[in-house]
Amino acid sequence: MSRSGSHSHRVRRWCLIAAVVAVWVQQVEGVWPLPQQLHQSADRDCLSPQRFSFTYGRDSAAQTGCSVLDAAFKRYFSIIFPDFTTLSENVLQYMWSEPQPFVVSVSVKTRGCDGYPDEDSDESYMLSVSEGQAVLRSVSVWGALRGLESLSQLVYQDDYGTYFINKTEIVDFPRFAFRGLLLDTSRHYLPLYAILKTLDAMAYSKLNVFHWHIVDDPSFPYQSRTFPDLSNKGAFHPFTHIYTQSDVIRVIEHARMRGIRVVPEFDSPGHTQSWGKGQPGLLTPCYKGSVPSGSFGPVDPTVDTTYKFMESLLKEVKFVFPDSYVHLGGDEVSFACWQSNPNVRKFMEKMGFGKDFTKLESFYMESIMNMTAALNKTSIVWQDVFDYHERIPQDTVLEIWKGAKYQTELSRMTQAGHRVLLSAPWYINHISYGQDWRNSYAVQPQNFSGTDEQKKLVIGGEVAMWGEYVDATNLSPRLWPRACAAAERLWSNEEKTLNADLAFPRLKEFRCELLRRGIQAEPLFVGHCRHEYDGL
Amino acid sequence: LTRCGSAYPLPRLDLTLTGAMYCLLKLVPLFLAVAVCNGWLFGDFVGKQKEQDEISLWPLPQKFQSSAVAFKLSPASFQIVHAKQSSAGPSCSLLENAFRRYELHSPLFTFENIEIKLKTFCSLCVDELSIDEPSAVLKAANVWGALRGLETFSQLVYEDYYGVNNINKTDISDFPRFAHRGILLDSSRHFLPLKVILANLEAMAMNKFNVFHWHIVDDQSFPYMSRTFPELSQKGAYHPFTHVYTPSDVKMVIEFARMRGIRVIPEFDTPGHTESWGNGQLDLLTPCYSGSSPSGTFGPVNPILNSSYDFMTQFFKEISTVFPDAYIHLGGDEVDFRCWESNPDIQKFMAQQGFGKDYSKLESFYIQRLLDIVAATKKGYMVWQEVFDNGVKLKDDTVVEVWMGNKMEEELQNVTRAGFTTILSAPWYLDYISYGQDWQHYYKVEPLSFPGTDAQKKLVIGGEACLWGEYVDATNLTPRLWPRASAVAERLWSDKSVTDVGNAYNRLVQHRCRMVKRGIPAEPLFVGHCRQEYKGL
Repeated sequence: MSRSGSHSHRVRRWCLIAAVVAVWVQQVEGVWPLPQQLHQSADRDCLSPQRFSFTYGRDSAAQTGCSVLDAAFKRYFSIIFPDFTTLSENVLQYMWSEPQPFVVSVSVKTRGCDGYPDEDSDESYMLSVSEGQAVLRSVSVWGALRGLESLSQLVYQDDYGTYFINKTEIVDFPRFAFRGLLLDTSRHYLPLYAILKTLDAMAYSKLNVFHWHIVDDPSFPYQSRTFPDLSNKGAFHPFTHIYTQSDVIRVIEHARMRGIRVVPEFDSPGHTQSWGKGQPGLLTPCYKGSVPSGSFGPVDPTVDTTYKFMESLLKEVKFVFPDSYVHLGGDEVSFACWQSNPNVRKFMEKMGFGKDFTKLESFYMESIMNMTAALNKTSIVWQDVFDYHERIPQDTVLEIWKGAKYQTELSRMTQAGHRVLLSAPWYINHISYGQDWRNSYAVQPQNFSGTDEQKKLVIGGEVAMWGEYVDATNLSPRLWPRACAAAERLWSNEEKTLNADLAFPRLKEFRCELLRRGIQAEPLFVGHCRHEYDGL
Repeated sequence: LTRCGSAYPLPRLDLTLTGAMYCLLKLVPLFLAVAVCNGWLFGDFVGKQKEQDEISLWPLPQKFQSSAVAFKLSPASFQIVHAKQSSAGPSCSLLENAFRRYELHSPLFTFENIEIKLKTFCSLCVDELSIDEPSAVLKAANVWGALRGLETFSQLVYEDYYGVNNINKTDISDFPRFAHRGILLDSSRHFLPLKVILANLEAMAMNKFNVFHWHIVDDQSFPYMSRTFPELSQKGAYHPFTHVYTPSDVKMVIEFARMRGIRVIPEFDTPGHTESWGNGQLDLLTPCYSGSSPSGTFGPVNPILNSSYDFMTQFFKEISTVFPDAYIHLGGDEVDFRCWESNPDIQKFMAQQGFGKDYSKLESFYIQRLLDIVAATKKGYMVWQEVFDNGVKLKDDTVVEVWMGNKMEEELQNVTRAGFTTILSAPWYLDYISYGQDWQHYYKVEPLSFPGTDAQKKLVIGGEACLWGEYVDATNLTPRLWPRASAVAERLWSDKSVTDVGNAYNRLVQHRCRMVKRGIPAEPLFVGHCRQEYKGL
């Protein structure tokens, strides 16, 4: 103990008494996802909310005024001390005659407080908790955010409500740079609060990409500035069931503050029924015999107006969404309508595609991907595009979603030199009875036949919560804590985290912590949390 | 009137059809300031057909006739009143409360608005509801029927394009197909906060469920705070203060349920499923042995000690006074015999009694004595099917609950052939979730499809949707239960012929939106939207 003064002795003793009285089984709480290196000792420090503070280290490139970290300090203070505002200061002063200060000093190497997290963001950090202080060092502010999250998970309360933190050393970095979560706001509209809550919980689980499957067949809730009719006519309701530009900005900013990228998906040429309502001429008219049937199929790839429209839309998307990635979809295109349409057949003939409609789809996707490249954006597409068409721009990121044989697909794609995202084993909208998080947890994303170089091309993965059966009523408990399993797989060292039985108690704790933070996370199995969910 | 003052919903509907006791309600829609609001002006409005679709009754009434003539309802002048000839009047607080609830319901109902003020008592039901300009008349044999009628009335109200509440000229006569329409919630595997239980009672009323089967304790925890044995919850609950149901909590649940015509049947499951009882009641459970010495673990209730029966006598005496319903569920399922087998005292007892190695005889021995204890409290009892299967001698009015999925029809046949009433829950274990629209499976169940005589079929008095708590707590209970349980609700209420899944889908989509609008986070059936989405969190 290097501290001087007699008060500190008293406090120290008080601490020890509390420690003795407290139940010995009081476990040092785990951190989820598990840090790469974590060393803890049984020595612990009491924390007094009165004397707890965050500060920027002297050598830190970021100082007060750094929007991301200032806001994070504020957020994490309340997360660490949730009852702080309900306790009267007098009582505290009485109890803690002279509490010791505890200072969390945060130092980052590069500033970048006003930027957005991106694919190259360095999220590594080092955290050292010792007597009276914690030192958090990171390259970027995004790493500092991850470190603050870990720090907040190290603090626990004993039965008397005293806050403790154990001496701890953490060296941590993510295994994969891209750790995503997909929400589908087309099959059901998700109110803004549901999205923002999800972003909160993502930050708690160190997920860092919000893949916003914002439009699809059933509805077009994105309010476009260029094409307002898309949502006017394509949303479930033109005013109550849309995302305005300011809603989108709010989502992006809420995400940025938590080190989360927002990658929007504008899926075409299939999955576009709702687009057609506000953009006449965009979709292919299906034919019944020699006359139009009145129904529409995928985007019409044979007319110039389609490409002009897509270019304008993508320009807007580039402008609105700061991330350098955009998801272009390209999955599940049904060819029946194209086949029925005489103009499309004529076009096929002209282009020499024969009867192979995958060639037509590829033609379309290639145009869209080139457009995207011209806008300096990286495209992500679903695996279908690769499966049908191997000649796609090299820097395109491929996302695997088909459940069967995803290992084979990983081999093939990486062999072709593409960067790959894995989401096939993490379609957690598929529910079943029991602890299915264990299936998510058992996934080994780099366990496929291929060279080390190939393995490196797996840049991460995504948890997908498709919206057929999900809306604001059941989203949160269906996502959490089930998505946490993939979050750990994508962040932590695989060898240290393969045993689901070992992970179980830590995840159980983490689920209770999510509840305490207001996330409606469902139970893993029988049991209880000290702070149960207080809503409906 | 006196009946209205003291009654709980009764187990068998036909028991309560006494004389001319009925409530007559008048619904008086007054018109908005201008005469334009009168329905006939819009009679052939183009949008009419669409509005018609929005009437979606759930569960579907037995007889229903509606015309396109619509009346506008103004929240300001809408009233529900007692009819002059009704035997219930303003002193019937049950109905007064219901009037207030449905007054809010029809136009603007939110869960937060519900006041829980419960004082007096009222008592089933054949309803007639006819809406004819300018009022609606609801006739029921008793207040419980009136409650069902009010719910139906509230479902007839729909909003037109101008946000005005409308109701069409309608005639309904309605009654339930089965008398026992239950929901089982499990508050032992996870503690369920009071708020969650009350919200689900509210949702039950919206679906015309009338029995809350409260699986209140089990192995994992004992949240029921007993006056006689306070240590049961002090030591057996997850937490002795935050994770318990106090006597006043229990009272509140019963009263909240009663106000909605819902019976509360508590289940105190023994001799198995009792681990948590042992924490607060020493020597109640059988000590298990490892070889010749006690292993430190415990098994089912010890059936060979008199003290066990003394305890049960006192305990069920309390339960019989706390819960007013005529029935108590005694469990009796899934008894694991290994611990009994390991215990030398039990072995000795088995030999004495001449049970040989047949531990189901020991179980029957226990259950038999327990049933006598409970019968002495003048309560009827319900038991899980094993009790019947094991040949325990049961009182005539015992209700046997069939829960095992395999050979369900055979079991129904056997139970009813033996002359026992039965309820079915086997096909409706809603805790088993799967991807997609599993409500259709629940909907397609026909409870009376087993081979048997008409007399046997009559013995099937209903069914229960069970939401066991292994993976369910306050975070996910409500969206997991609704609208999946609604499928069961219609099967148990509506006529046998109501089996069209497509038609049910359309109505159920709207019914779930109605539940959402009323503050119940009922999950979606499939892609789509509600005019008013859930605003929780």
